[in-house]
Amino acid sequence: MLRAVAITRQVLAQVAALAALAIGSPLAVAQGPWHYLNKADMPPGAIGLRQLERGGPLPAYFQPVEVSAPQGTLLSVVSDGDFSAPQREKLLAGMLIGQVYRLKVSNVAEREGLEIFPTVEVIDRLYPPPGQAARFPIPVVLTDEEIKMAMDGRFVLRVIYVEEPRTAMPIRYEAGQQPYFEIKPGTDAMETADRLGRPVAILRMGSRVPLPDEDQSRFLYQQPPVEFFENLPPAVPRNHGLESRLPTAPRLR
Amino acid sequence: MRLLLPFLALAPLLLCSCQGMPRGAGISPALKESPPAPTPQVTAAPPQPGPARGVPHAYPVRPAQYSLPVHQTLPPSAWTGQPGTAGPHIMGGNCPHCGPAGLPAFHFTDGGPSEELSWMPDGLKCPWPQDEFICDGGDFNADVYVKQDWTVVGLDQEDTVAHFDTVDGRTEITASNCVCIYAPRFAAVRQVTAPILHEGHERMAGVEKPAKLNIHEEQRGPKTALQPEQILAQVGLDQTQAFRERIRGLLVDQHTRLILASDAFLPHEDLLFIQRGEFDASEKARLAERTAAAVTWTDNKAVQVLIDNRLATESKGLSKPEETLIYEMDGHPRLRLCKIADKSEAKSGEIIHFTLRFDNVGDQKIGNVTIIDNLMPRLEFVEGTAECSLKARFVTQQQLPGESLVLRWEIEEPLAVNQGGIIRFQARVR
Repeated sequence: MLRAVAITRQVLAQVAALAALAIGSPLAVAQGPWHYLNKADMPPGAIGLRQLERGGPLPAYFQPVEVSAPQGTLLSVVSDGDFSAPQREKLLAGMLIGQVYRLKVSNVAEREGLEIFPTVEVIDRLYPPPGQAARFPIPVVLTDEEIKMAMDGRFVLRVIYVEEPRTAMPIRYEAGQQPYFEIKPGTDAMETADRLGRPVAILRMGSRVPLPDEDQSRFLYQQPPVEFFENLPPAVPRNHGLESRLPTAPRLR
Repeated sequence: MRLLLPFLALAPLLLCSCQGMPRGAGISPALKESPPAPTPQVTAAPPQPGPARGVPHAYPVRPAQYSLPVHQTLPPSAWTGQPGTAGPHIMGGNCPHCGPAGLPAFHFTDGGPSEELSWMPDGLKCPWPQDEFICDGGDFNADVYVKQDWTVVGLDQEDTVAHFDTVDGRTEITASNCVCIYAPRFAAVRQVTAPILHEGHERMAGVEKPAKLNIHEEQRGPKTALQPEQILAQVGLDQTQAFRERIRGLLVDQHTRLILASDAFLPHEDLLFIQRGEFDASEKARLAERTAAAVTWTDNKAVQVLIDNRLATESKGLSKPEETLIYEMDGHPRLRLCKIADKSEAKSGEIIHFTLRFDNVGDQKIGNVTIIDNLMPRLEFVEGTAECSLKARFVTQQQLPGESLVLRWEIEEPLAVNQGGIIRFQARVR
């Protein structure tokens, strides 16, 4: 009898432990921590390569990216082994996902003789309506403050993400302005951007310049192909591709 | 038995450890990279993935039949296979992120939108991806109801609903279709780091203290807080008082005669469904393109409508070559609310014209018809643009500072059977 009571007590204790685990484990998972695979301080191109491994229509798609700079600044992107013809203040180019594109920024106000070479890595694409991809590029905005920070030896990292419409701030953004917020040291920018939306591009800007004896292909990240635009596509009317309206039938009484 | 119980306790931990993971570039599991299998020929229309969002009595939508395998519907440049070899821009070796050799690189062309097909994963509900669209309409959680004191509860952002009173004293609620507009918006997270070098010599030993890379940034405080632009619609600071604005709906002289009808409507309202509330079979494609498609195909010969999973009886009026279908409901008061927009994509700052068509499609007169539209935060109502073809009392209400604006039209007169009207307003994309 004593043995039966002891066995009963042990069984009840283990059943209670099972129940506690079954209730507590989902709660523990919901609280985290989550271990993000990608970090913002990974080398350029690593995150994009992992994105390509996920599959989907990412490879071989040239995602339009529009790089904006302060007034008077000249922008170039690597093309065919060298930098393209400089464009003033805005540069619209189609970039492959998973590749790293080196830019050249020059003619900065008050520092006209200096150049910086930021990089843009596209890690995701957009899915615009057919024929409208160039009208909805990923904006990468270079502010005057950040350019001068980079020239002074600092490293500027920007992770651009698509905002979630339901949680977006109900304010109007000015044209040419990209809202951002700065994170404190020790916080990962990719993780923060992923919590707020969907990261699509990474801008890295520092004071590194090409050295004469350096392998230029390495500095230019193997010179990936880039597409340029001459004319933006016009807006497609709502009735495009649909049948024309037939004459109205008379109203019946 | 006692020895097995601890192992049984570990089972929930292992099963539940992969739940609740957030989405993200590094978290979402990799999709299976299997070669696309050709789908069989579809002889019957496949079932719709689900009813329209938030609409409790949505018309089931059956898409048109298709016969192409899935992978043939993708653009030529899309590739879902294994990494190929020798990409066009790599000097020798493998290019793991290039398509199979021989596929041309995707290029922008002036050949028109036919060469760039929109792609989305199979089985997902449109629109996709949802973070690139701003939607307005429907009942998001299907939880809107009217309390005894006429307070509307459960009105979420993006909801567009109407409530009305029936002759037998009930209060019914109906939701419109959902209109989605492609308008992605971007923001950024910034991090600035600076290397700090420290060098020091201790005594005369010539010891050089190693330089420490201090990834530390002097916090300058938040710089990203943009001064919120004061919402124009907010008149007072007292949140307990509702901002009421009496704007009589502008009368739109709607002529039912054929010739004059086209002059009184906006270009995107060139639908008989919007102008008269009558559904014309020849307009189904254009109406479906602008709405969530409230018609279903049960066969290829005619449009048929299912309401509450019952086929509505129809009495036809024929005038070749089109058909005008008039649906007769048996013993149910019903209000139909249809919403369309003049654009399918918009950039920030552009203005969108919304049109709401409401009709009494039941068999009873209904009264106290109130149409409510809760704009999402990214849509900013343009003051003075609200119009209604019937006498209505227009009110705007902002629930909380910085929240979306609620538009409300209260139709003064009861709606007779087959009577309807049009509401228009403009909203700017933020």
